[in-house]
Amino acid sequence: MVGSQLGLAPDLEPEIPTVVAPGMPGRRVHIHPAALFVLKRLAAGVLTLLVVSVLIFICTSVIPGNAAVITLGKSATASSLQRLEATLGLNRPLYQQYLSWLGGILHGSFGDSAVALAHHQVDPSIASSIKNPLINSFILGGITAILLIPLTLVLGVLTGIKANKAVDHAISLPSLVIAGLPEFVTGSLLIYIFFSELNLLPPVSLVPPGQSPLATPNILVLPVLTLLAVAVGSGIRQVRLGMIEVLQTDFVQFARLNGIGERRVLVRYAMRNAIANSIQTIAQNLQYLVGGIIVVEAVFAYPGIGTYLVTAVLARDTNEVLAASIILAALYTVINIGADLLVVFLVPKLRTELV
Amino acid sequence: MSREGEEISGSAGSSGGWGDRAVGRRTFLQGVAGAGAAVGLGGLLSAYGDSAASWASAGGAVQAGPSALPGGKPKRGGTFTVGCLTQGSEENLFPGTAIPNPDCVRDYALYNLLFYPNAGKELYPLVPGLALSAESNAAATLWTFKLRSGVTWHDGKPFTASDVAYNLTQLWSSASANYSSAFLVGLVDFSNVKVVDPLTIQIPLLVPSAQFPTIFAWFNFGVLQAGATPATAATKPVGTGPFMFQSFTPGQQSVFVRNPNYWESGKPYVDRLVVDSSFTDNNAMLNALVSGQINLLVSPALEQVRQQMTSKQVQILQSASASNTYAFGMRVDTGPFADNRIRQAFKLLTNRQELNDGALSGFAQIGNDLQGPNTQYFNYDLTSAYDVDKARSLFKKAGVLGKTFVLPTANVLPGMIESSTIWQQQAKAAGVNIKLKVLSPGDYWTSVGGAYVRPFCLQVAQALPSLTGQYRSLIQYNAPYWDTHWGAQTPGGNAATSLLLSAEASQTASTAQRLWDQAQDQQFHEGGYVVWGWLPYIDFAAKNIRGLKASSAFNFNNFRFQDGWIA
Repeated sequence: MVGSQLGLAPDLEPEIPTVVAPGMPGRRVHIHPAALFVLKRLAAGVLTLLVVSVLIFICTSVIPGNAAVITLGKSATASSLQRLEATLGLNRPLYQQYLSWLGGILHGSFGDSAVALAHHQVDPSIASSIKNPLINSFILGGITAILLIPLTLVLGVLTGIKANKAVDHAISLPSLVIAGLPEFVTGSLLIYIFFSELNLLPPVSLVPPGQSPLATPNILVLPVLTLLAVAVGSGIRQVRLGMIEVLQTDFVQFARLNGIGERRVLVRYAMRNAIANSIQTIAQNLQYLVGGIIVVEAVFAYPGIGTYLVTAVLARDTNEVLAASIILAALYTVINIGADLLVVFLVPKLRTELV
Repeated sequence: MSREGEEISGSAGSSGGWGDRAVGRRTFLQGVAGAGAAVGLGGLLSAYGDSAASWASAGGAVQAGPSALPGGKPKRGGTFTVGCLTQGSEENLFPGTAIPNPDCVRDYALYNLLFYPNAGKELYPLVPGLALSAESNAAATLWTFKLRSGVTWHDGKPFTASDVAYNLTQLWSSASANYSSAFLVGLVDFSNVKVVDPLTIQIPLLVPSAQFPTIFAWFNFGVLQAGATPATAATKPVGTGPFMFQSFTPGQQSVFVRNPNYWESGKPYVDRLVVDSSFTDNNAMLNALVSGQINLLVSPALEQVRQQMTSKQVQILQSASASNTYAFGMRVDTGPFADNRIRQAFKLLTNRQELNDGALSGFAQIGNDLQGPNTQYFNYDLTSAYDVDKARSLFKKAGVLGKTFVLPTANVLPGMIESSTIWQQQAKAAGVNIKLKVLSPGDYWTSVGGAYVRPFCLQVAQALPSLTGQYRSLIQYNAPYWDTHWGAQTPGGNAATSLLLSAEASQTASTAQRLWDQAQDQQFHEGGYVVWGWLPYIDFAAKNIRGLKASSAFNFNNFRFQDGWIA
């Protein structure tokens, strides 16, 4: 019983509704409203991705000149153009190209890079060229996320509890200032401090092909710090605000009046509710990482998906742009859905509203 | 315009060196080749570059550093790691489809050209590469190239004339295999190229050309082994160059190792050459250099050069002369610029110093609307005037005062967007409007961006070591980079083309000078280019790098990393 585990009174436990399966008169299928919510949310996510995929595809297709024309450039002859267009399937109607591309993705194939084909590269498949940048970005984003979540919560709760006191000012003010700076400014400042002045950390994060960034962990420190500096500030502010609001609610006041210890009030009553409210904020910050990582990778010359996307756009390699864009969009959607579900499961009020 | 330390006169006879001998008759490179043979390679290559003490000024432009790093006794070993801005998956190992950079860094390491531009202030006389000399018949329609002996490919096979013939007939003649094939198509009679002996090749021409060998000093003409194709070069490139292939990951990193059998005795000095082309940002690249993660940096941003002039964290290497030509181009045959009064007005309204200061940080030398500086017969005496009132008057006479001209621009090379914006303001002061149409960098020099068809454009032209090369590249009828459609104008197009062909065919220095003067005079008064600046090549090196040089031909003096060592 999820409700009981979360400490809800038995009389608040939701009544499970009955859903009649369509086309099956007389038979009743019991679907828990929470499961129904999950299904709806997943369906919405898939729909969102479909719409996004269509938009990305149209955007890359309507730009004058196809990938073959751009790639072959000056060396294009009628026959070489025809050959590359046929190889890439660019001679088919747009809807067929889209369906073929979508079908490929569902089977785990992103197709071939037009540029790599034109230059006779050994392996032109996008799946292999995007693999390492993707892993590198996951490592960078993953480490940042692992640090971002507890840091946001701890500092946010602390500033909320100590609102308008010295600790609050000491944390809030600098975090707000840093959060207001663009990534490349923060990155440059960190390079100045940790490389130019202290000579402690490398100012760029070069990773030779085939090598993991984890082999030289010190190259990750400054990019992670940059991402954290930008993302943590706004998160702290939101959690702080949530904490202040929760501390002023009736149930916290009531708990205090009942003589429950302050520590227990904070941990058991206030923090849980404040944290649940902060999940969306944290999710937003994680979503920011998906975009922010592009700038940070450029500042530190880190070979991740951001760098991959930038060079693909510059080379007008449509398939590479499509692959990187849809992966980033999928990541964005997954974080969004994950946060929605987590909030619903953590906040009793929302869960009961599902019924 | 004349440059410091050089007296420019109207005749080739007084320009000295190669000019006297080569065009005099038939012996295009014999003097240079002979010098090489007589004094050995060291004597020949000592002509490269200028001393470190010679960098005080360059025609009024800012000179940030010397054109040669400190020398001394070369030291063997170590790795050169070269940083370049990335070209992503577009990067390749095939010279025919190379674009600057980092493709050229790799190609100059792997392959050799037949001839190289000179590393001095002038781009001529040529320096022998795989070819030692070039000699023509009296009509300059049949050229005989003598090739270097004792050169071996990276796989151990000997380099011969058959290899050169293969390149000419199979690769350099094909638009799909070579971006610069148009330099040769219509000029070379490919079907009658003849291998005379293993070290001699005869190249017949369809039209006479007295400076024909200079065309081969171009980065797309790296010599491949007979039988090589773009596909084989992409996986197993075999060259004759100073470094041998080890690995290549496009847009990331490529690794080369020292060629122990390289024909320049004792060179290269370093064991490995790594090209890191993963950078998307200039600052990150400079940080990598300062922190020691790379030790050479190709083409830093000009504001970084300014900054390093004071902070001195790295060595700055700057060519003593400047050939990289910044211009606005106007089509002379059709559209609004077919009226020469409008072209003249645009030339007159151009404040070149302001463009140089604002767009190129003051590093450029001021251009005079002509292509091909630092080549034989170039006319420095013509000086472009700046007269806004006259420009306005010409616009008025042409009936376009207050009209708007659309200028496509893009952020491809340093200063392109900035110069377009500054020029827009300058045009406004003369009574016309320029509307900027900012294109994607990847599209600018493609058919998608309207390249070589559009009426108005920007051009940044790399140097070829002769007016023949430069005009064949940009100006002559149907040139590969035919921005201005010179020769297609009516009336006068045919006569203009004939004049260029006559100048190109001239074997005697005085006649050639006279004809090239006429051709340049035409360009100056009627041509479609507003050439406002010549930018030198500037590169950075870590403080412990020695022996490398700069020239106005290309970065690091044609990426001659075989000359350098780590102190």
